[in-house]
Amino acid sequence: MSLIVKCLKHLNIIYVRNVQNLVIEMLDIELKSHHMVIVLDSDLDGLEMVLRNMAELSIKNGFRRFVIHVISTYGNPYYLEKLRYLLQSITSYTVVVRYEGSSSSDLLKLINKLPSDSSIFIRRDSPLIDALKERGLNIYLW
Amino acid sequence: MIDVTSYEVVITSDRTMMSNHHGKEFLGFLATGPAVGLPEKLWMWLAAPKIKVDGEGRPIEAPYGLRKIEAKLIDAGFRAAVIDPDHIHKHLDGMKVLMVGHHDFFAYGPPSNEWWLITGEEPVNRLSFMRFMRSETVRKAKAKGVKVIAGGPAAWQWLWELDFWRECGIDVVVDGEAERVIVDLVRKALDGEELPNYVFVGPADTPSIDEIPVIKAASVNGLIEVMRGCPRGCKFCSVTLRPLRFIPLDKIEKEILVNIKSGITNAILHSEDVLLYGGDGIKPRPEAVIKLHEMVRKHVKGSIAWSHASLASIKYAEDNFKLISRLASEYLLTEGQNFLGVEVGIETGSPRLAEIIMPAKSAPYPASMWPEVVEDSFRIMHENTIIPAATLIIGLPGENSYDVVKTAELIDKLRPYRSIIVPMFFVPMGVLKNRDWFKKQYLTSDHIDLMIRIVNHTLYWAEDIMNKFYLREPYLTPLRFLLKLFIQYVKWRLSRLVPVIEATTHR
Repeated sequence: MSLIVKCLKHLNIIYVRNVQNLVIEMLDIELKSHHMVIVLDSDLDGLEMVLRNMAELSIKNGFRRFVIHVISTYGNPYYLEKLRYLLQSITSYTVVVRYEGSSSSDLLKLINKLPSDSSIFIRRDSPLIDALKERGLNIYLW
Repeated sequence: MIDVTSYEVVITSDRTMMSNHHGKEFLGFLATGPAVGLPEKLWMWLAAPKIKVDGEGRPIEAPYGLRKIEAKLIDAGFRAAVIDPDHIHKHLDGMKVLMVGHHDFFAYGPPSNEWWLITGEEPVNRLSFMRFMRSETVRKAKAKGVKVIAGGPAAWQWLWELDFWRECGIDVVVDGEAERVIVDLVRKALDGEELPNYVFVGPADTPSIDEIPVIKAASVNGLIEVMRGCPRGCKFCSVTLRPLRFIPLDKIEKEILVNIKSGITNAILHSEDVLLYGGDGIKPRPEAVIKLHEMVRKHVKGSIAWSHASLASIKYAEDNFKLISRLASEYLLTEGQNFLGVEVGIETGSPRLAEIIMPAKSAPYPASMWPEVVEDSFRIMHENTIIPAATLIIGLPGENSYDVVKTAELIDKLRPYRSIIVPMFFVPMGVLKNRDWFKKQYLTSDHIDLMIRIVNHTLYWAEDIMNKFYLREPYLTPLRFLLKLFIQYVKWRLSRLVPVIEATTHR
């Protein structure tokens, strides 16, 4: 661990380094989390897919914490209505939910900040899907 | 202008929580119902009278969960305090974070949702909380940029109240044991950083014993936690998802002394199953339980109550070690105490349903023996002047009419034993938290028959309990009178309702 990162940790600021070397501030509990992006512009039909991804990552990589970043046109906090069933289905992991905006530029900004192994869940015919092409991300379509 | 200490973090709740319920914890349950037959103000006084505060508005007693959060933040170096909801305005200038906690913010939990469904009227806990959040002080706080954090066992209910979430400007909702996250969240809030909207603390992030702080000021009616989590794994329960931890005796003792210093002479031992303190899996270990009671009685001169105990533990402890009789005679029913109150869970009288939904609730006895376990432990409690307030769940997933009939039969068998039984509609929690709620339209004639039997049982014993044990102190006479009046009112209403219901359901 570099000296800078050690110093930042000491100051209780946790950083995740991404492909563009940008950083985001996070809670301690978001440490060692797997990051997921859910693009919510309709009902979350991909619920099973998200839960399955969590289970797989938990088994394979030992993740017990997930941060769900939401891009949604429903706005804050109304997007939570679409996420409610998912949140109610999770009992075994720590989950942190963050609202990150509604537009494709919000989505791109977010993706630039996240680790490259983050999972992205998006509706197959979402208008935001073009923004994700050519980025080599773990994209899950429903 | 009163000169008060400036607290950057104010922790609070509405009046239904911030009360000692006249020193009688059970009266707090009145706040889960609507004001039936009485003006709301009088009902609120019955259920949740105002509590004594100091000059800064800090309550002498406060809900235990809020005290834990307060202690955690103080230990981390924050200027934090629990403040009575009527005194928040004194801290508007210095407040940067407002934290609200509740057992049942919006009356979606049991038994509030049931009274709401039956009467069609909103319970007073919901009305009181929403009134508090809409108060001028809270609105002013929000307008000046105070961050609002909501949490506690009812945190999940905010997911169903998104309009109100927005109206109140809630910044983050924390669901689960908060010790590991709350310091960090508050620090970020104070620094003006972006907060997440929702945090669910999973089992891997539950705090260790060392991370659980000792409360700094008194808890309501001397309630102190002796263990967290439960090993029984019932599917409808959220507590069972958390690992089991026993609070060491020295930590429990420290909290008792905090309460005694504030003049609280009673203690409520909080646990999902007090008899499993220091236990061997699901079997009670007498030495650990006796040591606990010995230590508590050494300090507590008033009454000792158990928050919860499991019926299987009661039977096992008495059948194998005569532990219940020993605890009752040597530590509990002493000079200052003539009964012990405890909440227990029956949930169903059907062995078939018990095997599916709560296979380990009867352990070490098999689930097929569940009705016998319930009956035996009710007898043991009756013989030792332990008065249970028992819960029973209507509409558990997979329930059929056979199960309801078996439960009704069990209720009849429990008639000789002094107890209060409260039916509750299924609320999705625990492993079943993604299941459907029980709704009024799901009520069958079997359910109604069962509920009538339960109400008759409870009314019968409530009068006996009031006459011989409860609210005997002279200063509680007006309260006793009002409650007796209420019981008569319920009887009268029931006598008129039953024929109508029977005519309707048998048509």
